[in-house]
Amino acid sequence: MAEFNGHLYAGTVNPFTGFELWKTRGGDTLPYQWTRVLTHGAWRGPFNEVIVSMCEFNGALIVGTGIINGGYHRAFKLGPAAAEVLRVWPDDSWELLVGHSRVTPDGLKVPLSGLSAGFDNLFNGYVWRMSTHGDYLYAGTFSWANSLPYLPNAKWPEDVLKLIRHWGVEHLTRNYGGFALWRTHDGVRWDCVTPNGFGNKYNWGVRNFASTPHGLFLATANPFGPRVAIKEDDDWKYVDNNRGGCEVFLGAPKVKPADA
Amino acid sequence: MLEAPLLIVAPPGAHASRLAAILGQHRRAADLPELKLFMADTLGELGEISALSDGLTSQGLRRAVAALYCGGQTDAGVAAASVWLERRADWRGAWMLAELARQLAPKVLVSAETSVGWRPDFIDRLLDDLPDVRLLHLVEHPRRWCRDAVRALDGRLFIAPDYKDYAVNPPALDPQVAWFRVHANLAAAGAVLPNAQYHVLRVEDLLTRPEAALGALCEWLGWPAEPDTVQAMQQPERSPFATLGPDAALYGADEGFLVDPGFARRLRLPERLDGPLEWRDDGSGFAPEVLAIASRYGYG
Repeated sequence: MAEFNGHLYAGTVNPFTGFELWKTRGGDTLPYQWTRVLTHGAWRGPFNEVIVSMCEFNGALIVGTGIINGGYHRAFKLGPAAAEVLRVWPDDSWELLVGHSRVTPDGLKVPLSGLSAGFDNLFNGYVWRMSTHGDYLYAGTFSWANSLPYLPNAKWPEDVLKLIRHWGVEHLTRNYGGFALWRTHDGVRWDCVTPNGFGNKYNWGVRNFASTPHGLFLATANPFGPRVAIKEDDDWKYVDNNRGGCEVFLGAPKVKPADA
Repeated sequence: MLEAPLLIVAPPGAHASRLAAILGQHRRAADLPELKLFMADTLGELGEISALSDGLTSQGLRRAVAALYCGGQTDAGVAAASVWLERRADWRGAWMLAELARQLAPKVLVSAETSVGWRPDFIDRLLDDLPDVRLLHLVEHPRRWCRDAVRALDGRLFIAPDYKDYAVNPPALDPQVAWFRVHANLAAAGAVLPNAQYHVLRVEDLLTRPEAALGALCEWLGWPAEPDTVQAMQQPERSPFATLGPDAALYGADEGFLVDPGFARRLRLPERLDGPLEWRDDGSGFAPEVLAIASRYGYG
C-alpha cells in the first residue's frame, strides 16, 4: 500500500488474471469508497501477478511488479518472467516505464525507457523496493539468477530454456547473479547503479532503503550460508562461502543530475 | 571545417542501409556500414554488448575500421580492427564517429543507424555528444514494414521481446509495437531539432520517385543534384560495404540489403491502414497510436 495524491493505494495479488490497483480517499464515513485504477496486471495478465513496491515520484505513483516467489510461481506454473515498472498519474492514466510492449484497452503501451521487463534481465523477478533520494528514484530488484543451479526447469517456457541452454548456467550466474539497482531522475532515463548486487552474486535482493541526510542506505537480502552447494562434474559438494549474509551499503549524499 | 555526419535513423530493415549506400554514391559523401556507436558510453562497453550477440552488433564497426585503418575488409583486417578498437576502449562513440569522419574528409560520413531509436537515452547520448549531427529519419508504411519484419523473423531461434505483444499469452509476434516505439522516439527527438538537422523521408517516395526524392534530399543537404549525379546515386550496390563481409564480420548491415543491395525503380502497391493485421490471428487492426503517427507521415 502507498499514500499518493490524497488517496490510499492498495495493490493486490492474483495468479489468474494479474494484480489490481485500487485507491480510496478514506474519510470519516465507512465503508470507504474504493476505485479500481489498474486491472489484469496492467493488461499483462498473470505475468504481472502482484504489485511488489510503490513509491511517489515527481507527481506520479511508481509501481513495481513481479511474480511471487521471486519470478516463478511454481504452484501456478507462472513464469519465469521479469518484473515491470509502471507510472500511474492522479487521473488514473498510466504508462509503462520498464517492461514489455502490449496493445491494451488503455492504448498501446511501450516501455518509455526502452528497457524491457526486469531492466532487460529475465532474472529480475521483482522490482522489490523503491525509494526517492535527492532528485532520484531508486529501484532495487530481486534476482533469482544465482538460484539457477538449484532449480528444476523442465516445465519452463521454451524461450527461457533456449536462453539458458545458449548461455549456460555458469555464465548466467557469474554475470547476472545478484540484484540490480537502477536510478532515474525523470522515470524515462535510467542509470544502472549495480547490475550484480554490488559485486556479490549472493546478494539476491534489495530489501530495504533508508534515505537520510547521511546518504541513501541500502540493505540486502542474502540468504546464503557460510557453506554453499556447488556442482562439479555432475556431483554436488559443499564449499566455504564468505559472501553470505545480509549487507548494508551507504551511498553518497544527495546528488543532483547536473552534478552527477 | 568538417561537414557534420549524416545518420539515417530508422527501425531495423534493409532500406536504411540501402539509402546510406545510395547517398554514399554522391561525390560529396562516403558511406560506412552500420556502426551502432551509441548503445553504450564507450567502445569498451559496446564490446561487452557485442559479445552478448556473438560479435554481431560490432561487425559494421569492425568492417569500417578494417577498411579505413587496417588494410581492408579481410579476416586479417577485421582481426586487426578488433585490436585497434580494444586499444581505444575508453573512447566514446562520438569520438569514434568523429575520427571516422576525419578519415573520410572531405567527403561526408553517411551511415545507417537502426539502434538509437529504441531508447531515449541512446538518442540523448548521440545528440549530447554530437550536437551538430544530421538525422535523416526514414519512415515506411507500418503494414509493409511489419510484414517484412515478420518475414525476417520467421524461424528465428530467439525473437526479441521488442517485436511482441505481451497482452496475450503466449506473447504474439506483432511488429507494430516496434514500429511505434522507434518512430515515436525519433519523432520526439526530431521535434526539437532545426530543419537543417532533421529531415523525414518516406521509403515509398524514394522507391517510386527516386529522382525527385534524391533531388530534394540533396537540396536539404546542400549538395549538387545534377541529373547525372542523381542517376549515379541509384547504384547502391557499388558501395564497398554492399556485400557480405569476410567470415570474421559477415554483416554490419541488414542482411536483406547485403543479399540484394540493388536499387530499382519499382512501383509499390498502396497499403491500407485499416483492416485486420495479417500476422495476427485475432482479427485486430493497428492500434490508434500507430494510426496517429502513420497519418502524420501521410499514410492513408
